[in-house]
Amino acid sequence: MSNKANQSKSDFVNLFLSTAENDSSSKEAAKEFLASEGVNTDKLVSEGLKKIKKMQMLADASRTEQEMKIAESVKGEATAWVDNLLANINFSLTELVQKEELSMSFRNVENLSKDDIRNILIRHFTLKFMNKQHNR
Amino acid sequence: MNTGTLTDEEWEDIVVRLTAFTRSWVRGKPWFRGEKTSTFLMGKEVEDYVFAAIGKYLEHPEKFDPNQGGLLEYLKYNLVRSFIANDLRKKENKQTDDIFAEDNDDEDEESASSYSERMLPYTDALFPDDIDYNSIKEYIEKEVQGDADAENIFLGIYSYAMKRREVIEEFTMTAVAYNNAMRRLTTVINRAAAHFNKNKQTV
Repeated sequence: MSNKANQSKSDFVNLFLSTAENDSSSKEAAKEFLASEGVNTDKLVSEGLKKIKKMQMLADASRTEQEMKIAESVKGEATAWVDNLLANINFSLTELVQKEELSMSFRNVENLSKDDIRNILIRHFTLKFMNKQHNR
Repeated sequence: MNTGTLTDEEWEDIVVRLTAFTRSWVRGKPWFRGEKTSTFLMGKEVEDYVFAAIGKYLEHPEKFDPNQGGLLEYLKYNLVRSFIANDLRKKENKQTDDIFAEDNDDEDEESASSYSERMLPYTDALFPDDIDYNSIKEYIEKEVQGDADAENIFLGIYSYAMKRREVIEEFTMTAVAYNNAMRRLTTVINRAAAHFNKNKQTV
């Protein structure tokens, strides 16, 4: 296709696209065009909004499921991390509390059982790892 | 009923305008080819494509970049893109330009152009190359002669690639006058399409 012929086609395409843009330039213009095409706009809108609501719910459910899967996998990672930490003979809870700024959660540290500490640390590191993932 | 971050009223606007745009756009497909639009739609309705595009957006809203245009433009762009992609996948297709040959990255289009500008090459792929577009131009020019507003719109869009607002400003036209004249021009363009389609079949 020569440059000139190519330009003629582009100009025509631009014109064609303008007609489609004009048919949808406003809600009123679109309704008028759809009526000329025999489309029942009221039905299109009422059924359309129902479809959109359903699709939105499915999309939200799918996102929640994905997030839960990610959270599960991160929790596994955090659990392994905490168990490894607690198994280390040099582990110092006081140092960890200061380093991780856990003072609020550990106000009554002397009353906590080993399991309580483990669970608190798992929750803390799960959140920390998840935040890291989100910020990536 | 409130759906996502858009209100019902906003969705209504999108549904109506997107459907009108798509119906108007797919009309171009059979032009000059002697095909039927239904072949292009692969047994589906235009509305099926419209809601599929909205569904894709709802699944991945993060892919929409407001810096490149409004949501309606984004959905229009995705629709024309998927139509051309479907057309290329059809075995019998030997005419549609392979616009995806140099653009096969589905998601990572970091082109600086807006969604609206990016619709042009996909719309270009809708029409065959082996047509005398200059004759079509001359036909339209002749048909709109004497209709000042339609002539000006044709001149503005065809020769200067003006947008609606620019035509209205340049030719000091009211929006209503523009809409009416554009409607008459569209009738002429449809007539031109029928005329040249017929001519092609008789060759």
